[in-house]
Amino acid sequence: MKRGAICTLWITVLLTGFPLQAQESLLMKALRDEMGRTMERLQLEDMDKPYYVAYWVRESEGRGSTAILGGLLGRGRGTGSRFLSVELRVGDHDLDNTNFMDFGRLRSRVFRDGFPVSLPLRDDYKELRRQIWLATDGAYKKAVHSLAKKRATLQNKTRVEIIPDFSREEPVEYRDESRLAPLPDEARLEAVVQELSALFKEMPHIFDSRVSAGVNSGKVYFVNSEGSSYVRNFSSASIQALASTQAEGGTQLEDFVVARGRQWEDLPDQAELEARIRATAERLGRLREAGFVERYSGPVLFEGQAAAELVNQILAPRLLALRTPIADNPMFGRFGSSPENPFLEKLGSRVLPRFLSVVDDPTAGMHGEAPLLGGYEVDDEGVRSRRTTIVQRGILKTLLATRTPVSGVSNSTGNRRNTGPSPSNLFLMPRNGLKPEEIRQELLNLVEERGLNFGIVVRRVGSPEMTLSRDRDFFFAMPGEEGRPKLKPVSEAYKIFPDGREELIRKAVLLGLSASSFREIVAATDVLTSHHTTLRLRMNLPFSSPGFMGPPSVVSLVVPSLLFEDLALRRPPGNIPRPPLLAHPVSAPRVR
Amino acid sequence: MRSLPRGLLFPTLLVAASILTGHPARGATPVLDAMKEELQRSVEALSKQPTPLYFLSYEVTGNRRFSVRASFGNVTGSSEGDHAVVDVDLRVGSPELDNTHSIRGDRLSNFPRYAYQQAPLEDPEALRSILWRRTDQQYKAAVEQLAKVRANVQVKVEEEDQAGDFSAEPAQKWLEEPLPLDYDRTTWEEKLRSYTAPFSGSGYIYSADATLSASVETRWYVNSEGSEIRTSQSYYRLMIMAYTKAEDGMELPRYESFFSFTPEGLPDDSQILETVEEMIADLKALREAPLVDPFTGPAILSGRASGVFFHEILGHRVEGHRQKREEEGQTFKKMVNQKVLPETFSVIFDPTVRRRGEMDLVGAYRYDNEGVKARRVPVIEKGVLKNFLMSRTPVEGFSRSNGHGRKQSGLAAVARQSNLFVEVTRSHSREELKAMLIDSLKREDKPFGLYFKDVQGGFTMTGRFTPNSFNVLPTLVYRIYADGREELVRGVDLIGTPLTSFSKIAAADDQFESFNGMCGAESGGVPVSAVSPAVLVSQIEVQKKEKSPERLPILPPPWESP
Repeated sequence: MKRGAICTLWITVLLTGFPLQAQESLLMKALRDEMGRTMERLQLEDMDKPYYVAYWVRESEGRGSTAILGGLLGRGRGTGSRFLSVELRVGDHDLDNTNFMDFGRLRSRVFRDGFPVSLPLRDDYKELRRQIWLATDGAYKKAVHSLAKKRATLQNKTRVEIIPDFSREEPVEYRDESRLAPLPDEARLEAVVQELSALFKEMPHIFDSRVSAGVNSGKVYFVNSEGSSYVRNFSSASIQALASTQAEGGTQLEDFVVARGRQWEDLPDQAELEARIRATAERLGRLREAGFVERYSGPVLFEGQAAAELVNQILAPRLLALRTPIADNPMFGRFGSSPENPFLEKLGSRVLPRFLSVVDDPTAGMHGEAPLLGGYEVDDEGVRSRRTTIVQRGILKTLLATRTPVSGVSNSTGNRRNTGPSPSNLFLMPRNGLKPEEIRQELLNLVEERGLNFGIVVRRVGSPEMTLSRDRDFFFAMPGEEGRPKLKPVSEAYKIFPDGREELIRKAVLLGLSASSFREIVAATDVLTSHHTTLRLRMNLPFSSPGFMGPPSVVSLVVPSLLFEDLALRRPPGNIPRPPLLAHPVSAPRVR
Repeated sequence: MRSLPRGLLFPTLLVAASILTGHPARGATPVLDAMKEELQRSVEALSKQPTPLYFLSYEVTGNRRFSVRASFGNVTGSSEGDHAVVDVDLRVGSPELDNTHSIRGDRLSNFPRYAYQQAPLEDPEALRSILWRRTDQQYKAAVEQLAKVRANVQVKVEEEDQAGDFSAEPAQKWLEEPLPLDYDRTTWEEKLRSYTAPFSGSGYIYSADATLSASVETRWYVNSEGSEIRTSQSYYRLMIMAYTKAEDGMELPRYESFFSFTPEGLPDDSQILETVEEMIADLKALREAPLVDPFTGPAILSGRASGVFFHEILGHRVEGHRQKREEEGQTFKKMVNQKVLPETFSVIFDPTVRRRGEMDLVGAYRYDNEGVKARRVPVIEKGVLKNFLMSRTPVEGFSRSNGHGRKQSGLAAVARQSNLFVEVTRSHSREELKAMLIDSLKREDKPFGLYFKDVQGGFTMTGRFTPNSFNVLPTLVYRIYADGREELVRGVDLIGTPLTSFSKIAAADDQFESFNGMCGAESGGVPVSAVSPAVLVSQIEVQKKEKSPERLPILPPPWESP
């Protein structure tokens, strides 16, 4: 962990244009050999043969450590893992077994459809073949059954629009020749989380806190029956600190510090993290004393992290070509899949003001001095990555797609990450952006125009993955994702008065905010900030979409500050839990 | 939920709990001290609240673990680590009526709540802050719950069982040194490779996994009555599982598991490899074995099968709290001092016994999860029901705990089983038992009886709404014909209802076998054992086993047809 080492990443990859068989591993040989046998001979009598098979093997090793107030929450270490995922299609590109919500599962302890299969850690050819054989057999049986059910379902339906199930793409061969850096020892992670979490011992106003660090790295091997293959390295590192408290009246306040990089060495040094943690804790302290805004309707300026999270949580999910699968049971279908993306109907329409464009660029490595973490050379299903202009001067041109086409987007944009489409490095680019001071003045002009006493500036917004409330009694926890993306509560916002004075607001939620609200943006800055996050989508898995499953992908966002002409904001609704009856045991003597 | 399926689900491996590294020096008790300090502070403050607290306990369960997994001669993963979990039991009201009282007519309110909270052990201040937050949350929840309890008691008819909610028990002091975890990763990886390699030759065996799980569980317990306990126990368990499939789709498992409190206590390589060869032969034979149709008739249950049989039909029905909850079937509640088994049979639960014959017993412990000292509980003496397994929840006629309040971290303790022993004053040889079975075949003109040689576990339902029944899940079943011939068969589970099945128990042999497993119920998974001789049951019933509809693999194994 040191500053300055951030530009080493990402340039060591190499594209090869020649066949790889000569130098490839026993693992790749086992995959190819079983694939050959599958394509040639795997068939149940009178049923379709596979027309497409893909294998992924994900080898990974990781370490993680968490501490509370200087004390480690246990230790853990593993040898790493090697998992095989299979995607097998029967039928043809136009109509196959996918994009169908099939609740039927193979009832078997031997064949497990849809879930990764553990492989031997060493290259034992015979045993690799056994596992690939059995996994493929299960995937095939599931596929032919699903296709038969899908055809039966479609028999009684008139299809308004026929969209192929699978796009045709150029085969790619790629091999990442970079060397994976060794992971840091557990002891290093442990020392950092212990030291950083101990900072909270001196902060009596923080009721709950925890600091976690994690690193992982590994390789993904991919081969499909169209001649594509890749071997791709991956690595990631992160440190996160979460803190929460309650105000006198009980309002729960929470915030976090997170740093991400491709490697441990890329993360900020400890002094910087300490400073960020202290600043966050200090802000939480001020929030406890701050007043609410009961109701507000008027101009709102999103700056920095808040603008990025706004894009991440509200706009980005709409930029994805997510296909709604056919369901044999419409009632269950609604349960298991995300609802239709309204942006599918907006291709060619204006979705943003004319001065804004949106570009996804997995080939970008840096934004100015800042590294971007969402990039790759080939996507998860072996499609070469490329820059995609999604919105051009406010007009929606396309959506980020995998090989599963949707109406209006017939080919992959090279954005399959994990089980579905995802942004990589997402840029929201303004034309003729304002200077930061100009946009603030613009906000104040709007305030004056509306005859308001103040406007609102939002600097931080909560993140769905950064919360301490998760490990509470979760027995009855319901899945949190609703059909429509919803913005997490605002964790740092200010009233801004005509004289430029700022006043902190305790906590607030934005009402009625949706992707269509983005059309109401009236200004953006020319200064763009980068921000890394993960995009968690409600997937259609495991019922309809076969294939590769890994951890959530990191997305880098590069966004300007955004000024909305009219948004509604209020204090969080609902009852407020009472604050603790006793003072904090560690800091109590010092505060009371 | 009217009743949860509960039983010895043997394939579930010993679920690890956890432990700290950097053990405190002998005599130093930083974890206990931190717990005591926070307990005292909470008791002082919360006793002065408008709804005062009357009991508080903290339990910290630390678990250090190591595990290796191998499949067909290859390691597929190994891991090691430690962690700790805290549990808080907090009561408001009075021992006669408190917040834990069952709310009648509101099943959701009685549904077990799982509250998993990890805790740092190496920093007392950090541990105290976790206890503080947890206590605060639970106090508030308890106050709310007590109000609901009081309303429920007033609104509903008088309860069948008028016993209070919490028994008085003496404070306990006991300090054991935390044990080390003894393992060598490389050695175990090599062992597990060698144990699973023999399966590799068989194309019809579709999964063959071995897992070694080693753990040390250290528990710290303090309560507002002055108890201070630290216990430490190590567990070493080796599990081998292999599956094949018959032509008709039926999936046929073979399980073997070996348990010991010490690594030396596990069998040596040659013994395990011998077992593996038997498993391979059994799997081959099982694929060809004929199916059995639903049937009633006489049967011999091996010691292991019989242990599980007693665990399901008797054990779960003598758990004390089930005599109180009005949604429970309460099969034995009114049968105290009545004869329920032949007078040659006694059933004892004894967590203080750590070993029987050649086997360590996983259901042993020194203190239960409510800080009550473990003790021997004769439940059936010479065929007569004498006692129930008791936690600190009293039932009419049984006002005290007998050290069987158990749970998995994160859940509330209820009465659970420990080590079950079936004892007989009159035993027969195995041959005599078989001869008795053959006699009854002839007498009743039955073509065959069944011999249940091994089982993977079982489950039972004890509620009033669901049928009050049990299933024992055998893995090796033989037909015994009148001419003495034995034939391996497949496709059946042993089923029945408790009182009928009990009345059919006829005789036992002299060969005791032990079954170590994990038992799941509303307070989570707890390790249990059952030790029993083989028993002859004059009439059992079997039903068809659940079957996979999936075909055999379409292509032959790759090495046979590349």
